[in-house]
Amino acid sequence: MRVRWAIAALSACLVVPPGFAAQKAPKAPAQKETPVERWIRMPPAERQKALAKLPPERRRLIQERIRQYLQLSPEERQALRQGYDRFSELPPEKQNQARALFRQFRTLPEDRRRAMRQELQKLRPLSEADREKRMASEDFRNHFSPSEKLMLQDLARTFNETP
Amino acid sequence: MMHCLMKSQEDAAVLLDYCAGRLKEGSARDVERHMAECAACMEFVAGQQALWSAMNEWSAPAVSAEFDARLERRLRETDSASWVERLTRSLRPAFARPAFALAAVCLIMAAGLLLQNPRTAVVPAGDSHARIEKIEPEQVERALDDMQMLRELASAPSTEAPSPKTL
Repeated sequence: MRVRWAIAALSACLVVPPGFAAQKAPKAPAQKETPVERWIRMPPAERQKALAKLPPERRRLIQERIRQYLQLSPEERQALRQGYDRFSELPPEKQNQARALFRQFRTLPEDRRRAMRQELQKLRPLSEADREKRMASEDFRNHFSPSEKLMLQDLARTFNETP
Repeated sequence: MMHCLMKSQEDAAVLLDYCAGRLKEGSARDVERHMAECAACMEFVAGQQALWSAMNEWSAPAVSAEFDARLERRLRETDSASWVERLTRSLRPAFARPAFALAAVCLIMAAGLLLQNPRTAVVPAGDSHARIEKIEPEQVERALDDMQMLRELASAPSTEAPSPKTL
């Protein structure tokens, strides 16, 4: 009888505490890996095989962009991952709309892009009404053309949803 | 002279019948005459007779005075027991075995481990690449483009900062 009690007590010690603790402890939400991280974790041979299908210039460009991603600080990478996660949750049409806007934005000269980015950061936290008020101001009109105003309006609306 | 009775199984049976007193008188005399000259048969019969006499001397131990009373009590208990008790009583010997207890412990431990970490129980250890989903370069390019866009437009840049480096 004592042996059976000893076995039961041993099994309780072995099984219950870790399982119990693991189930009771609130688990941090698992962060999904981005495609870039999955690519980095792929075996090198698999990566080379996938890249071999591409033209040399495109292959080189991907490798360069990955290298730059790896040069980011852990904090920058984490912030980027979080932003990417939120962006991935948007409906596909919203994602495509944001990409189209960005393509348009990239066609602007560097100094205009810089000015637009700064203005965008001011507009994003504002309500729709306050945004309209700001865009109607003389200061705004002195700095941005009507086409830039439209683009900023769209950008502020779109990227307000991906903070 | 009679041939040795120990040499065949059939003749050995004659010796056993002699020991048990089952042979007719004439046959018994023949066996005795043979034994007077055959040491092997004499030895066999002597061994058998010693065994028979030992068995005759053995007597079963006397039943204790309380035996009948205890038997009657148990019979009464069996009759009055509920159907659940009668059912579990038949299983009690199994529960009482150490092997059963050990098997139960193994089962509990296996269930505990599976509940604790069901994924790692399925994926073979030591093959970290097996879990990595294959990804095409186009998907990577798309993700890098999106990240670049988010860096430029969704992040808060410092004043006068140039566009973030291309990813």
